[in-house]
Amino acid sequence: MRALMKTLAASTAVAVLSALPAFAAGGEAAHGGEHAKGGLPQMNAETFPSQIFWLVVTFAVLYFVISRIAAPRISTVIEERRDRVADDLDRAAEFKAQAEAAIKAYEKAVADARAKARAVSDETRRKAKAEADRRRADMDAKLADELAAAEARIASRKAAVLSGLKALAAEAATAAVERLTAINVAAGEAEAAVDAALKR
Amino acid sequence: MVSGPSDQGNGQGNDPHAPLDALGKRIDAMENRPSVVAPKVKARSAEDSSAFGRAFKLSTEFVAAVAIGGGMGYLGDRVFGSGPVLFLVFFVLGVGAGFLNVWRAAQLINARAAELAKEASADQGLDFTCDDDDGDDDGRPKGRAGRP
Amino acid sequence: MFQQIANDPLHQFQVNTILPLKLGSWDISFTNASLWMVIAVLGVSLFLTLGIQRRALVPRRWQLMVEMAYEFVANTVRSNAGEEGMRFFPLVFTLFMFVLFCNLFGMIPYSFTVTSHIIVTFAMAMFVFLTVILVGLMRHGLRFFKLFVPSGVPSWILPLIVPIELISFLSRPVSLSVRLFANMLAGHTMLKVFAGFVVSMMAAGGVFSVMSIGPMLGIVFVTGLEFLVAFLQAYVFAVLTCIYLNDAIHLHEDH
Repeated sequence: MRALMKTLAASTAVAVLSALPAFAAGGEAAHGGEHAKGGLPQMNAETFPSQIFWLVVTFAVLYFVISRIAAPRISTVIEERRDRVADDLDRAAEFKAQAEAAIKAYEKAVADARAKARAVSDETRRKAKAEADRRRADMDAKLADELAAAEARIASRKAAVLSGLKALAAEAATAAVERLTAINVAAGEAEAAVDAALKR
Repeated sequence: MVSGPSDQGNGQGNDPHAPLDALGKRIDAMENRPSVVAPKVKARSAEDSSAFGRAFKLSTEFVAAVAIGGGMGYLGDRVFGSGPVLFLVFFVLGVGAGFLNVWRAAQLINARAAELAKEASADQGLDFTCDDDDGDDDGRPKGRAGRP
Repeated sequence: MFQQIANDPLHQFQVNTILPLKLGSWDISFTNASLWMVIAVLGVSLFLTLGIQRRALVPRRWQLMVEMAYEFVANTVRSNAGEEGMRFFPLVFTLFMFVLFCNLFGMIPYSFTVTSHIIVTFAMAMFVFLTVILVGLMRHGLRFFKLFVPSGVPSWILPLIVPIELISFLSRPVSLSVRLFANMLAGHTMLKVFAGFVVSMMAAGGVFSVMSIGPMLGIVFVTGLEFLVAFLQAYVFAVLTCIYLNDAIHLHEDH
């Protein structure tokens, strides 16, 4: 590539330089009429060889400086930066992936913990409810027993009171009949009469 | 990238994915921007897009061709001694070439202006990959498209 | 007085010998034109090498400018001449920087604008022109001349088209050189005309020195314009070089 450019530069420089006298002559012929002192300095063909010579020299130097020194340096700096930026971006993407993995793990842990907590709380609630149910059943049974006992006690008390009352009534009736009629009523009759009266 | 349903419903409003998604977008944006300095070049070019056409001086394109045509004819006449015949013929051909030049320069200016307008509207920097922007993947610009 | 103003703007284009030199029968004296070419080359070389010296990862302004210039031209070459055209990047970069710096240095008062001389721009254009022909011939041999025969044109019209294409091709170095030369000539002449007005109006004194604010604003405006023109002409020169190289590398759209 460099060889090609060198040949190119050299050959075109030679071509321009060799074409120079012809051009200068042509220029002079074409603009001979207006070639007076007051004309455009640009048309003064006497300056052409010097202009072209120094253009070729300076341009060749600049081409050398740019193609060998400046352009490679600039491209190196730009490439280095591009690589560095690409590396940084890759690393950023890597870190991002790591962060995402960490977040996923964290979320999983949170979900697991929540599920476990829910299971524990469900179990606890179930146990508590069972215990409560058992206690209530016990209490119910105990209360029912006590109620039954109380009712039995009341019933017997009532029977006793009733029978006491009956005897008292029969006695009172016997006494009253005896006083009124002087008839001695047999104890059994009086009680039968009281029973009959109570039934009415 | 991570579009997992964030159904934690734990009432702590900020989604831990949000900053990561933002980071992902920034990484993508940076990867799609090939050069740090490119946008400035683009801005400069877009600003100059109208001046580009003026800088071209279509009259120069035309006159140069007519001059070359006329010169060729004149030299031919000198060589062959054919009077003004070749001069006239080549002058006319030079006018034709002048129109051709102007037409091609106009094509180039239009293509360039369109490119600059596109670059200015797109928010990304200049593309320094080997893309030639005309979609036919031949590595050639559209500036020279359309020969007669 | 007005005669002096009229003459002044062209005086800046005068070539003056600094050191007389001879090469055979040629007069290759070191002139003010040569001096400004050397200054431009030094300027470009220092600008590029010193700017990149620090090799900073995050560039400062100078290094950024160097990298911008580099990437700008690289992008121009790549988009106009393809990846194969990048072989000629150093050439296009040299052309661009040289023309740009010659254009810019020409705006310094009392300096000399190298690119305002048709022979200089023509030599550069011929250099590009001959490079294109050489590259074309080396790559494609005689098939390079198919460049003048557009594909898909009926054969009876070829005797008309081929000369037209040939003239168009030959006119390239002319239009390339005249465009740059004419722009520099016109712009710098205008700049000097305004400057001449300012100087002579100031010298006239009184009302005139107050009125010289007009041409002064003109100078500001034209100077701004000339910066743009200096850049754009260097850019157009580089773009066209790339497009011509693209022709030589790829011939027509069909390879």
